[in-house]
Amino acid sequence: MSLLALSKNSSFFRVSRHVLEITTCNTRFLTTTPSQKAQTVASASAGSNANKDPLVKTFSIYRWNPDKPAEKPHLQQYQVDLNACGPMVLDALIKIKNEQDSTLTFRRSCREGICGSCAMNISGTNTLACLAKIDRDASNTKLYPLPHMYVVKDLVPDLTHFYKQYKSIEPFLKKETKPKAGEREHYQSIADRKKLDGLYECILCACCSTSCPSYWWNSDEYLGPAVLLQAYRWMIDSRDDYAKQRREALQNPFSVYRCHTIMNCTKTCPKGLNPGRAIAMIKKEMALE
Amino acid sequence: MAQYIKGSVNEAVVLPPRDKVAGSYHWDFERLLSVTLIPLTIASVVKGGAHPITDLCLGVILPFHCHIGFDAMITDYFPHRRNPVLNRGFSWGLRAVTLIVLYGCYEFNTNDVGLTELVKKVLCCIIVITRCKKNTMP
Repeated sequence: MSLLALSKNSSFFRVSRHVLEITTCNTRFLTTTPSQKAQTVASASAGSNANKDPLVKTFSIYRWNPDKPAEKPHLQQYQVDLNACGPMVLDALIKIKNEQDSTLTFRRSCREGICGSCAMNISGTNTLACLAKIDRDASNTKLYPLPHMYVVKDLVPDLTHFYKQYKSIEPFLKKETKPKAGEREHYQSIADRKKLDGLYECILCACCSTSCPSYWWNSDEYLGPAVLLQAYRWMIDSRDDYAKQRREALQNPFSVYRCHTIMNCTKTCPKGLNPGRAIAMIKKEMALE
Repeated sequence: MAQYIKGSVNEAVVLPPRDKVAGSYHWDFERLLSVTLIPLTIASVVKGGAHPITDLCLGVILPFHCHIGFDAMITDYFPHRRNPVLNRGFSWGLRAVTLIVLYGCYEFNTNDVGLTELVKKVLCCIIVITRCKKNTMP
């Protein structure tokens, strides 16, 4: 805490340590070692933390630096004391980045499983790091980026093609006629709204699509479970008038029909959605046309 | 980054040209064949013998069912956009083999036991073998 020492002597910072901590926060000096005030709070509320033996676990994390592309990707081991860390894998990642290796790169934002940024492969399963509990019994947790995706750096995949595919299904409401002057609402019955449950909650984290072997082999033309789930969401929206055209757009051997009901998608969805079923419903609706 | 991104980052992916035959009709036909095979197989196992109708049906539907199955594997692993030569090679090879199998089924139905009896024998053998294994397993 050399910054504190400097600040103490300076006349400008001739105030209490409390304010010094705030100014150090303003200078973006992130630290997870508890401050004096925080320590008293912590020991008061969760005094058991200080008495626990350190429970050290290894995290093997995929590392690759695009600035040194000749260096092969490799797994780097980090030791983390789980008793001084939050319960989720994202907590461990942030702790590693703060205390051990600030070059570790990963996407994260909401830390509550709603933004979909921290999607990665954790011990073989694609989930969100902020929702994946650290396995306290396993000695080693392996963190890989989403499988069969180009890697930008470390755990960050390139999702450009994924978003382009999402755009191609026209994920917006399309009406035949413009609303009349007085009417501004598109009415929808409760039963029709219920059909969208399990579809609208998709956060486009790409966990399902990157778990699908068909998407691995044919991501150029097969749309993948995430995009198809959203395609179905717009197909069955009662307010949308272009359901037939949406189905017409998928009439080719690749966009939908590369799905062979492997069902990795439903198994891995961190939000508990069922893309496999949505794809089956698309096939059914297309078959009956 | 060297990638397969066609066009700019903001453009939507262009979906392949619309072709109902290769799309939903193909899928419908595949399921239709699979569904008709169910009663055919059950009837063969139950009855057996030489029934010309089931022989003919099996002799036509089985090769087509297998052809569609293998064709799906070829489109999955050797799609035309990625491996044009292998795709064409395997596709034509598959068509040739299917024709040979069709002829072979005809020969089998006319000069041999017949597919109905074959299906019964094969499936009964499988059932018998699995039952024997179950009984002899410690």
